Amino acid sequence: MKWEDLTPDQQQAVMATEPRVIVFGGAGSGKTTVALWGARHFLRSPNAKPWHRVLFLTFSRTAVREIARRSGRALTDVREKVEIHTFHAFANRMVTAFGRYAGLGRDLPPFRSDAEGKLLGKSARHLSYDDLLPLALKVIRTPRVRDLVGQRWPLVVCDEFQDTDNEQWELLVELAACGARLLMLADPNQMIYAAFLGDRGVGPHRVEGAIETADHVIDLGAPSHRDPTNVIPAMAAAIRRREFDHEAVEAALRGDRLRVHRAVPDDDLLAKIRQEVDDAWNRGHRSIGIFGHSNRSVAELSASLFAMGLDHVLVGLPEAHGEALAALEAACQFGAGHVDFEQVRLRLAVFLTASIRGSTVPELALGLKGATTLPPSLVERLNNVQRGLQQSAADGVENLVNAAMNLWPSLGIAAANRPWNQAARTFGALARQAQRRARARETDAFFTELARSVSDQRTETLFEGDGATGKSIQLMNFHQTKGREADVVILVYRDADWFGREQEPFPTNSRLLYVSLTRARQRNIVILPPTPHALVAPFADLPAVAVAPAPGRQQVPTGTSI
Amino acid sequence: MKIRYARITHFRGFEQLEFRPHDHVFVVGQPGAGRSDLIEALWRVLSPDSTRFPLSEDLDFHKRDLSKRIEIEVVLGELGPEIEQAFLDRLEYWDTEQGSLVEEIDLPDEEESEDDGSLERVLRLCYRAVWEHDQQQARDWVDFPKFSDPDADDYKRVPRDLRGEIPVALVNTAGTALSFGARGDLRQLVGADQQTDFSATLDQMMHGIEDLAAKLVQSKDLAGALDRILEPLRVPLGLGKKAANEIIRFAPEGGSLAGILRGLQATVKLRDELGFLPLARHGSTLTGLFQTARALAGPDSKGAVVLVDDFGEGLDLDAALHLASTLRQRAGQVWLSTRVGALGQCFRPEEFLRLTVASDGSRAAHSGQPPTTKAERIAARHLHLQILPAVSAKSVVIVEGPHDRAALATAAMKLHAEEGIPLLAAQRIALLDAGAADQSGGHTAIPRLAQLARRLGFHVIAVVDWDRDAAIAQQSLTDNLASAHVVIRWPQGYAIERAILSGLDDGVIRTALKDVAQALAVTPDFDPAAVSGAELMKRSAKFLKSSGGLHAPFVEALPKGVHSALLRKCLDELRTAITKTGHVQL
Repeated sequence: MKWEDLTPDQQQAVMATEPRVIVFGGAGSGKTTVALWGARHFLRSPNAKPWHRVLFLTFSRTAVREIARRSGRALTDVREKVEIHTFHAFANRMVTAFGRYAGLGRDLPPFRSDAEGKLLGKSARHLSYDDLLPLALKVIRTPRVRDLVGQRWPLVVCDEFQDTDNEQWELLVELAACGARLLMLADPNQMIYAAFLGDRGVGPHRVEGAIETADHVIDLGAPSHRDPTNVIPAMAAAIRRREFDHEAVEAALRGDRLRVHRAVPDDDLLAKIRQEVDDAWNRGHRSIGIFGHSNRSVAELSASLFAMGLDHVLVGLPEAHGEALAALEAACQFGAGHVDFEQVRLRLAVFLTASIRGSTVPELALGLKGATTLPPSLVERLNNVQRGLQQSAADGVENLVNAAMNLWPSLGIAAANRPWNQAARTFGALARQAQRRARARETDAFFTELARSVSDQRTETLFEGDGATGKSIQLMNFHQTKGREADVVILVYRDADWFGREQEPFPTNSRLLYVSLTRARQRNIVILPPTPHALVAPFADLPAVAVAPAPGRQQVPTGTSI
Repeated sequence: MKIRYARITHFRGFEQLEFRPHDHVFVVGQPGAGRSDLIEALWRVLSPDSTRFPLSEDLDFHKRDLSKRIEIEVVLGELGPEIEQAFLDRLEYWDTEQGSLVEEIDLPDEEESEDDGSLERVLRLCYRAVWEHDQQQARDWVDFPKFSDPDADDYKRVPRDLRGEIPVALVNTAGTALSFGARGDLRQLVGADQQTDFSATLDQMMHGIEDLAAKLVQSKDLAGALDRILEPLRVPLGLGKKAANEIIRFAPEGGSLAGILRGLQATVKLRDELGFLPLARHGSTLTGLFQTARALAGPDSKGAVVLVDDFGEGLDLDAALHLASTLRQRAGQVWLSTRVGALGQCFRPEEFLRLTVASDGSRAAHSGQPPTTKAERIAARHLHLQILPAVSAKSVVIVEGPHDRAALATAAMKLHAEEGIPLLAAQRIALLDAGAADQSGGHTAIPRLAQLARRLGFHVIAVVDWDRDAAIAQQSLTDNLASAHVVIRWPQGYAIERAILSGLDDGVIRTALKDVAQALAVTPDFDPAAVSGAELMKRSAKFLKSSGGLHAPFVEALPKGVHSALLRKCLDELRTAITKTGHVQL
């Protein structure tokens, strides 16, 4: 993308130099692009010193990286100087690097994931996810770290600013106090975390408060660069306002930018999805997003799609992925005689806990941990697994890795097979890599390498949220859609979906719906169950409209609009 | 950038060496004590090129014990914002007062800037090498000890591109100066990768050479000669009637740019009447000068850690002094290793790092302390004037004044010439005199100089007078014994003059006095023939002190086979004193 391709509003936002700048813009209006250009503009200015970097704080690193990748050559020369972190990854970085100089001790307490915390309880001897930001603040506030922070990041960009909670906001304020300019990107209509993070301070007051202290507020308006015709953003905005009879919705239907499949029973769902995927590919579209409601329904959908041979990336369940890797490693370490089987059972319990959302610990997890008794059949299978690992270890590392990969399926526990199998494939790849690295060295070297790469991967899933990039079909739940985009988006609704106690006009759920709808560059496809929830039921009542063909448009490969 | 701390473990001759530089480092020492190994060790940890190839030599492992790891750790300070930010997460803190790493800091409720004053942000790097028995080579790398755990065999390696950020320069005095060769000294300096006019000039030169070489065959006589060569080949090669110059041309070095560049040698015109001469023809000094100056011209030399091994070889002292001083000014920290002690004039006493090696091969490092008292400042002056020539010695003998030194040195020469007794230098013993730069008369200067010499790792032998005042004599002996390893004391009432005269016949003394008087055109204030015995000795001793000291000439004037008894005894004692401690009474 070239400088001339930016709108005057966007150019103005790029050039802004005030200490606090807020850039508003609807979905796809190019906020992230503006911020990356702003970073480049600063880094290439005469004021930039060789040691300066731009810090990009976000909720999903992948989404920003994706945009950076697509922004092409414009950013090549400064890309190394733009540091993209999630809030928690940034906090973790600060705490790991400098916590020891801020009273946290030379050896930081080991990190305990959410699932570990749930299963084993919180303790002062462990760090949890929730501890990170307060600790990072403590670290940054020590004068000796403060100097370094102020020196390094004269510009801090906050993506999805409308969703920042109190601690994240405090961190931004602290970075500003160190001397950084703040560039806040916001779209109040995309605020989707308020419902379940309200107690952490996520809410409309964030943006309202920031406007008061901002030196410059820029509104990029609604025009979408994701969909330059603005048909999809206008339609999504109307639906957010619950105006299903708005002409923008009709326009979208007429232009084939919105398709609705009514009363699709579960049995027909896969066929319907397949049909739409094939159609999208035939029209030259490259990327497809399939959004479902809950993690569980998305996971089930993923399994079925795999079964029918539709390759895709399942975004989400990141913690389960990391915990499965840890369990796989523990199994190998057991086979090699480095740890007890108790350790393997504990890792399996943590994995199961991570795979199942909710506040309670699954009964089976407690059993695996040893707190309750397990069914005799499962005990026997565990014994078999234990023997199997020991025997395969005698036949070499490769056999051991294979035995570990088959561990969970051979326990016959109905839940969590999907994340396990996904993680097992990753683990197999990591093991091969570790083997190459360890070369002909002793097996000990292999296990050291393996432990290291598993630990890195697990940390990545814990702090960075998501791992999927570039795959043509991405499957995720509605809450994970922010910041992403695809040529064609398929929204899957089922009878069993639970949308909370919210009533018409569904303020929070409508925002989530808006975010999901605005991810599409070309087309939204809404698949409704026989008895849809009131939130999406009005889709079923939309009039049948004759689709006007848009010649020339369909054959153009898209995906490079930014 | 400066190295604040260095530790070398299990590397070559070093079992373990720790060192905290004060500023620049002047590396001197006994032969075989590890000057070059020290420079090599620092290069290993600082240069991005050091681990490019696996280490196939097991000689780097101390005593070839392959079961242990080589470790070379450095703490780098005075980093500047660019390096600090390049290594942000890896920074650590260094307590500049304690000279130690700060592992953690407690918080900070009332933490104040004054407390921070002694804390410096530093970067710690460690080079490690492990022998791999199955591969018969070593694996080596550089890691961040901050995040590495050797017990768990877990090392956070420093990526190569980051290692390239560390400003370090190695001054290589071997090889050709001003060369365009493969290691491309000059091309690197011109910055040939970037847009410079140099590439175009090179192209021009290449084409020019090609054209000129091609024109050779326009010589009719050469063409004729080539024709004769081609004659029998025309049929088999199917050349027809083509002219020789259509078939054969000449290109220097086969037309390869690298070859031509290799062949280019700098010629230098320093004086008009000599014209341009190849650099090598000007002598090794000029080559050495250019090599050092080339290192200084490097873009990264300013503020960098500059490592120089065997500096001054092939340079005359004045030029070497100038360059050493320039290096010291330009570099963030220069590590100048040399055999030329006199270059120490450019450095402060606390910048000395003297390496020693014991008879069992174990090495040690000694360094001067920054002077804090007047006594230390005075001794520091001695250091430059007195200790510099002794830096390569193993033991030093400190005498009270220049006459003591002159007399002992001359007596030693005479014994060597006449009886073949080895010189003190043969046992790496250097003679220093404490009084030379101190007007206090010497005896109080000895302990100061002795302390300093001890700190630098010398075995120190003091040779002192026995004062007539018993109390003063006792105090002086105690002081000297506290400072030197060995104190050799002349008999009571003896100073160097009487020692010189000891055991000599009256006749021998008279002849020698006469010879000295004649040779140096001085006249004794007494008639040697008129006195004898104790009186002759007393008057002669006084005369020896006149005219700025006639000690050495007198010793030299003694006939062949005649030696002062006490001087001979003293020299004998010195030779055995290098392995013992305590008081020796002559």
